[in-house]
Amino acid sequence: MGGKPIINAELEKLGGFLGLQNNGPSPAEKKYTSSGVQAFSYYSGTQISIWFGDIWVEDINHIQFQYNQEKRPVYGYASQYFDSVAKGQVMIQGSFALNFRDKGYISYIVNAIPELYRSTQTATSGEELDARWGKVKDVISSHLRNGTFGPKTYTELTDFAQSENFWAEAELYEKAIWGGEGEELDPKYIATPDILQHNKFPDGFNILITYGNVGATETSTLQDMSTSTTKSLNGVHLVGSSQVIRATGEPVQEAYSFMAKGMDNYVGTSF
Amino acid sequence: MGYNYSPYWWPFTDPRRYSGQTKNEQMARTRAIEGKQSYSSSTYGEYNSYSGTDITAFIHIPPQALRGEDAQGIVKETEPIIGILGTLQTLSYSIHREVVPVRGIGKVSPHSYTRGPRTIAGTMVWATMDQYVLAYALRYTYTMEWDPSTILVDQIPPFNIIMTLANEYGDASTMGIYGIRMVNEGSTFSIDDILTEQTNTYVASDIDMLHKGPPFRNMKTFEGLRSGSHILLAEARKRMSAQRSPFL
Repeated sequence: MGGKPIINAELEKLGGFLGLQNNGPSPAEKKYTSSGVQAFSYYSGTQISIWFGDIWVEDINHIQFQYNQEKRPVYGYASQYFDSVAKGQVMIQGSFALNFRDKGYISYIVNAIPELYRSTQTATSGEELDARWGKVKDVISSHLRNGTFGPKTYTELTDFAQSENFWAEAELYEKAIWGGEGEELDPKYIATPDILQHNKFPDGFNILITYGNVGATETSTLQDMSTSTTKSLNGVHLVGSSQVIRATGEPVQEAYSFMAKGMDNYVGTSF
Repeated sequence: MGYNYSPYWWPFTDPRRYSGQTKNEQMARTRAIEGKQSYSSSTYGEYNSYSGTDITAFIHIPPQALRGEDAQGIVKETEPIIGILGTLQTLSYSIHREVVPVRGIGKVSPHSYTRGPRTIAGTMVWATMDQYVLAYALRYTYTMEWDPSTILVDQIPPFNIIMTLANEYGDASTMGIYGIRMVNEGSTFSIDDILTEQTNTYVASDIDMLHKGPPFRNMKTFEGLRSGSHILLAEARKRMSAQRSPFL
């Protein structure tokens, strides 16, 4: 019974004597696994996409942001080192610049972010169930298509389906998702993005930053999971913009500054 | 477009483009142009190769929108320009990808390398005959609007070059360079030269590597994707339907 380990130990000793000790993984294991020299888990700008709501803003050239929280050390009497830390205000500030294409670019995008947050606060009626379900299905499919399906959406849909003034709300949803015909934005006047954003999204909108191939393919392997991630800026408010025009060949850039309420919160919906 | 019997610019429809070619070669070139040549088709033997004389380069200038496009998307546009580049002697390309090592303290080797932006660029060398090498491209590019300045090659729209390679054994392959923009141009006229040449350098948006059959291309689309470009186009349509001047 106890013979085997002794033999193994003897063999190990012999191997050590002959210079055959275990030096870790074989060259094949060491060099050619995905976690070794072939690892691709670092990102450059070319693998990153910026989304405003569910819209891919492909002209963004750079984005930067900084999260700050005021913290103050609290010193007790005769304490050389602080005893506690008092937390203060949180502020996220940042900016992004895009290759300028149209004066209304960001306004159009902000205007096109679906406004699915409009809640319906009505009681169940139980009538016209089949006809209503058709409309609800449209809303669901729109959520699925735009990737904006989250826990809040479920509550919205339930409330929506059970609302008394269902048809009026169905029309409201359709307008919110697809936009009204020519009434959403008069082409003769485009509000500046900060004003439009404030009127349309008083609580701000979400910016999603995806690293790697998020969403482009179905995440199916551990490799996919370990080489993609997302960050989000939540409750974003646009506060200013700037542009510099030079007589050189570089594309003209328009920079926007923003502040945000939160970072890396769950982004189930576009607002 | 009409026929042009200049030896250095053959319209694609010119029946004489097959002159001097064997039956096998004609068939193979047609298959290569139509993308029907399969990956493994080879009449003689396992491997085939091409010399420079087996290569024909076509220029393709895509249709350009003319005034009068309406908001419904009915586009008035120019005829595409397709022709054989008869005076092209050399075509080279290079693909550059900016990769940056990812380093950490305490390691000699990089952890990995990032994959940065890509640039496709190359050169073209032409034999200059009795006219500018892209005279026809310039001529067809010229619009009816009055413009006092000279039209030069850096002003022509981004164009494509499709190369078909076919040898006398009936083997045929294709290669495409897309969205070509000329960057530099140069030529020397000298008593020391028996042939005058012109050189251009270019950048390109995309490239299909030498292939038989369909190109190595991932045709996947992302259903439901809305991008800034889509929204901008929709807004431009809206403005066109309102006949709005940008100065209003």
